[in-house]
Amino acid sequence: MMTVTISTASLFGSLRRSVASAQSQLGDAQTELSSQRPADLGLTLGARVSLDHSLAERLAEFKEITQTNNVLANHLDLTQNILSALKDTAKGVLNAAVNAQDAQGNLTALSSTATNALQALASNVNTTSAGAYVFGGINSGVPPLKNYSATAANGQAVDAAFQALVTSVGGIQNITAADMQNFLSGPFANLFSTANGNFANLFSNASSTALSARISPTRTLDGASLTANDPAVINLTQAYVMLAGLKSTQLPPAARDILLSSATNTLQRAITQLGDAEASVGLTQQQVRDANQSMSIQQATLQQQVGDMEGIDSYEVSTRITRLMTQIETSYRITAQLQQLSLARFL
Amino acid sequence: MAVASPDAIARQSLGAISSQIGLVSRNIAGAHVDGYSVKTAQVTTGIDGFAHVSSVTRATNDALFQTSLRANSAQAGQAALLEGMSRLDSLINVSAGAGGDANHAPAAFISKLASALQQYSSTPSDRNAANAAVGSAKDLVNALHDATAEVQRVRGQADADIAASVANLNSLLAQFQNLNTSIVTGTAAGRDVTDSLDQRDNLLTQISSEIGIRTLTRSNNDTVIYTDGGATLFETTARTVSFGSTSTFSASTSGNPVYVDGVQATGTGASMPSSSGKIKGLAELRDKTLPQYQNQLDEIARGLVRAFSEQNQTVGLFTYSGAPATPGASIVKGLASDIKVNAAVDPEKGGNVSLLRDGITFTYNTSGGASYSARILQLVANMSDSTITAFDDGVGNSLQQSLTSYANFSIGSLEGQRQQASTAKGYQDALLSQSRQSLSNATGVNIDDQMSKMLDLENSYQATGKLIEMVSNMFSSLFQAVSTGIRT
Repeated sequence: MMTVTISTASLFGSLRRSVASAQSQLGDAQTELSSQRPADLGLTLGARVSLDHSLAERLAEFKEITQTNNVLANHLDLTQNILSALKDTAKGVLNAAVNAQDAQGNLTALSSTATNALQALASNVNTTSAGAYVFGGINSGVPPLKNYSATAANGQAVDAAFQALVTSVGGIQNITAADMQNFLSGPFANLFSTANGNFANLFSNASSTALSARISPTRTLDGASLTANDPAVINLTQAYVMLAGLKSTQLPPAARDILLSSATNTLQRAITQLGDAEASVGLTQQQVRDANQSMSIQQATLQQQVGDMEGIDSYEVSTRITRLMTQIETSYRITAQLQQLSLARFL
Repeated sequence: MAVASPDAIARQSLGAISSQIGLVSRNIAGAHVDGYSVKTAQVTTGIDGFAHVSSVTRATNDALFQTSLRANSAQAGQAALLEGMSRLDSLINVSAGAGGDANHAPAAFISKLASALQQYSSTPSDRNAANAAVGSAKDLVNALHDATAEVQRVRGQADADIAASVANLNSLLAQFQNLNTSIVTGTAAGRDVTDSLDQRDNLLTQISSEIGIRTLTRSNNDTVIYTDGGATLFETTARTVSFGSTSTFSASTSGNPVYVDGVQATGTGASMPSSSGKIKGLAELRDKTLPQYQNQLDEIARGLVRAFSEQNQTVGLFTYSGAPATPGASIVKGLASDIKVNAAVDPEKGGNVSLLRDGITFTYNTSGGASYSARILQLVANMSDSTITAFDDGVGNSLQQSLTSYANFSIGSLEGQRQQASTAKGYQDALLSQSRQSLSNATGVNIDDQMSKMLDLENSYQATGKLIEMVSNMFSSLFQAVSTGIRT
C-alpha cells in the first residue's frame, strides 16, 4: 500500500534547519540596524554598485571643488581690498598733484607723497596669501614689484634717462615744455613698456599669465587673478615715478606744469583702470559664487540618491527582526511539542 | 497432522520473529544516521511450509536519489565559486560604502586621487598639497598591487583545493571499488548486503560533491559511474583522476585542467567537460571569474599610465617596467602589480614632488612659475576623458570609457556576478535541502512506525510462546494419558 511517509530525521531536521536559517538572518538584520547600511552592500546592489560609486565620486568632487572655490574666493576678496587701497592712495596723490599746480610750496610735499605712494604700491602689490604672492600670476614665488630706489636698477635707469635729457639741453633750467613732453612720451614711457620687456626687467617679476582655477566639474577659469603687469599698476608706477624721481622741484615752471599735468592724466587713467580691475574681479567672484551654489544644489540631490542606494529602512528592518524572532520562538515551541510526541510514552 | 508440526512451526516462527525484531532494532538505531534506508524483512513461506525470513530489502527511490546527487553537485560547485568571490569582496570592502574611508576598491582610490589633484590645482605652490597628491597616487598603486595579490592568492587556493578534491575523489573511488566488489559477490552468494548498499550510496553522495555524476546499476548490483560530461569514473575498476597543481599564480599563469580517465574534464578544450561539482566550480573560479577581474585590474593600471603620460608617449606620474614608452591599446597582463609611482616624483626615492606640476619627462611649465596649474588641471581632465583609450571589459569586449567610469564598471561587474552566484547558490541550497528531505521521507526511518511494528512482533512472539506452551501442555497430558494407560 502506497502511503505518504515521513521519516523521523526529516521531521526534526526541517525544524532545525528553519531555526538555523532564521538565526543567521537575525544576525544580518541586527548588523544592518546598528550600521544603518545593508549587511552586504555588494549582494544587495549587485551591478548597481558601479552607479553607487559613480555618485559618491561626483559628491566627493563637488565637496573638493567647493573647498578650493572658497580658497579662491578669499584670494579674490584680498585682491579687492588691495585694489581699493591702491585707489585711495592714487586719489590722494592726484589731489596733491592738482593742488601743486597752483601753489609752489606744495611741490616738495608732493614729491615725498609720491615716494610714499610708490612704497605703499610695492608693499600692497607684494601681498602674500598662504605663501604665494597674490599679484604674481603663475610666478607666485617671487615678489611681483621690485622696490624703487636711486641705487636699484630701475632708479638708475630713470636717472640715466633724465640725465640724458638734461645733458642734451645743457642744464636742468633749459628744459622747455616741449622737451619735457617729448621726454615723458618717449624715453621715459619706454622704461615702462611691456612690449620691449623693460617693465619686466626694471619693475616687475610677475608673470602676465594669471592663475587658472577649476570652479566646477565642467568650468575652468583662466584669468582668475590680477597680475602686477596689469595696465593699472603700470600707470600707477609710472605716475609715482614721474612725481618722485624727476626732480620736479628743480624744473622750470613750463616743464614743471607739463610734468604735473602728465602725471595727473596718468593717475586719472590708472584710477579708471583700477575701477575696471575691480569690476573684472567682481565678475570672477560672482562666477565662483554661482558655481558653488549650483554645486550645493546638485550635492543635495546626489546625497539623497546615495542614501537611497546605501541606506536601509529602519522600520522595515525592525519589523523583519520581530518576524524572525517570532518564527524562531514558534520553531522552538513546535520542536518541544514534537519531542513529546513519541509512541514510547504511551506504552 | 501430528502434534509435532505446530511445535516445529512455532520454533521456526520464533526464529523469524526474532530476526524481524533484530531488524526493527537496526532501523531504530539508524533513524538519525545520514543515508540509512529502512530495512524490511521479506517473510515468505518455504516449501517445507514454514515461515522464514527469506531476504532483507531496503527502501529505495532511485529517481529521488539521482535528483539528490545532481542537486548536491550543483550546490557544491556554486558554493565553491561563491566562496572565492566573497574572499575578493571582503578585501575590496564595498560594504563600507562607496564614499567610505575603508573602501578598498580601485575606484575609491581613483576618486581620492582626483580630489587630491583638484586640491593641488588650487594651490600649486603648496608643497603639502603636492605631497598629498603623490601620496594619493601611491595609495592607488598599493591598492592595485594588493588586489592583484589577493586575486592570485585565491586562484592558488582554488588550485590547491582542486588538488585536494582530486585526491579525495581517487580515494573515494578506491573505497568504492572494494565495496562494489564485495556487494557483487555478496549478492551472488545471497547474503544480506543492504548495509553495504547504504554505504555505497553514501560514497556516491560524497563523490557527487566533488564532481557531477551519473550512475547505472546492473542486475547483479554492480554499479557503473560516469561523470556528467560522459567520462568513465568507475567500471568494475576505479579510473584515475589526475591533476597537476601549480604552486604560484600570476596574471599570466593558467592552471592545469583535470583529467578523468585520461579525458580532459575542465577548462576550454575539454572534450567531456564536467558541468557541476566542486571541481568544476573551483576550475571556473580559477580559469574564468578571477582572470576576468585580473584583466580589469590590469586595464585600470594601463588606463592610469596612459592618462598621466606625457608628450611623445612617455610615462609620467605612473610608470612600469616597459618605461619610458607608454603601453599600447591592448591588455598588458600583470600591469596591475607592475605599476609604480615614478621615482622622479617620489620624495621617498629622492624625487621632486613639484615635477607633478611642472612635468616629469617633458617640461610643461616653461616659465617655471610656482602657481602654474594648467598641467595639473589637464591631468584631472584626463581622468574623466573617454578618448584616452578603449578598455577591454575582461572577456574581450571593447568599452570606450574614461578611466573613472571604467573603474566603477569593474567593481559593478564583480559585485553583479557575485550577486548572481549568491542567488543561484540560494536556489541550489533550497533544491538540495528539498530533495534530501524527499529522499529521507521516502527511504528513512519513522520511529513511531517501527515502534508499532515492534508491538505487533511482540504480540506475535507472545502468541507463539503461548502456542509452544500449549503444545507442551498437550504433550504433557498425552504422556500422562499414556503412562496412566500403560499402568492400567
